Amino acid sequence: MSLDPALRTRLHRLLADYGAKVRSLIDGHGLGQYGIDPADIEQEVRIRLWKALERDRNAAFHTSFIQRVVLTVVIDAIRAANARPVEALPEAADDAGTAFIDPTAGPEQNASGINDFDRIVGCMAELPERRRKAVALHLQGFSLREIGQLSGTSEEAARKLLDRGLQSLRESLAVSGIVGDIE
Amino acid sequence: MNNSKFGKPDVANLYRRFTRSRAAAAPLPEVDVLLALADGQHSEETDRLLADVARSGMHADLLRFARALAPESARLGAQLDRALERPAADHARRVRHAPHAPSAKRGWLRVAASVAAGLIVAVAVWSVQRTHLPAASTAAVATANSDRIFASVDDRGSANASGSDRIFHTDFKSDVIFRGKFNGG
Repeated sequence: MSLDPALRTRLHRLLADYGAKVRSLIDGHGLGQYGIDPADIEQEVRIRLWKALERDRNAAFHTSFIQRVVLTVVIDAIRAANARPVEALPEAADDAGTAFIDPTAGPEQNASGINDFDRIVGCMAELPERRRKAVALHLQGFSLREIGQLSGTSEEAARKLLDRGLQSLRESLAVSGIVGDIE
Repeated sequence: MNNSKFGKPDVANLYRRFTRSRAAAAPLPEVDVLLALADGQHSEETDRLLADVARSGMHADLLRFARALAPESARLGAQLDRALERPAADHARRVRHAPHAPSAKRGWLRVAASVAAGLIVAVAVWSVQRTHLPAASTAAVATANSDRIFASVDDRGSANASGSDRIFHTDFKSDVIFRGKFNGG
């Protein structure tokens, strides 16, 4: 693609701005905890989009194409991070379960957290599927509107599913000896 | 993590933390399915992925990230259109679209392929018609014969009808016989 220098500079700037936003979104959504480097992702996204521009500058860059480029880079990076052999430190524990122990919490709190989590999951398993999904998405931080969109129901239907699911979960947790904040 | 107020466990916090830590156990999502789900589409695959999102923090984070990417990506598409002085595309459209796919050359190839396919179909229809022509004329003859059969049946019918008319006439003669008997009596 032969581009005049001014246009080339402008395109590079656009991709650089977009790359910076992608990096910011990766940080904001906590994707760094899965072993990826946001700076690497930003760089790779810019390179791939530039190559796509060079291939065919007349083609339209639809939202879904740009999203796909970014998500492919991110998921490939997570896959690579998962496949990367971990150098075990002498003090590193063998149990993978300890990976989700809160380092700021004491050992008793962490053990209690794992037990509580297992009991929560056990109680959720007793819920009807649609209620369980609504509750789980709510606990994952999705709004009612998002739960409705993702589940293919209205916001009102999602609210009913969630209310009933949370009520059942509270009762089950109380029977299990957990009285927690679920809202 | 017995946290939050009054020492009660914060169930949502607990759930989020532990489902993120167990993320490695779930298979990574396919990009297209993730995009479809982020876009609000529904299929068996998106339902399966939604189940993964419900139990895996990493999948939930990826889904939220994919949704957050949409407006920024649409903005970049529009900016590129302006920079390259292209007519503004519908950046919000949901059809998957690779930028290198629809070039002018490929469009011509598609048109040529369509014309060629049409010609092949036309020749095939013409040759099939030619092959079946004798059979068609036989059918026409058979139809004519059957017409004759029907005609003869019709003729017989009309002959019988006229015959029966004669029988009726004969019956009228029997009236004459009765009259004769009465005369004789």
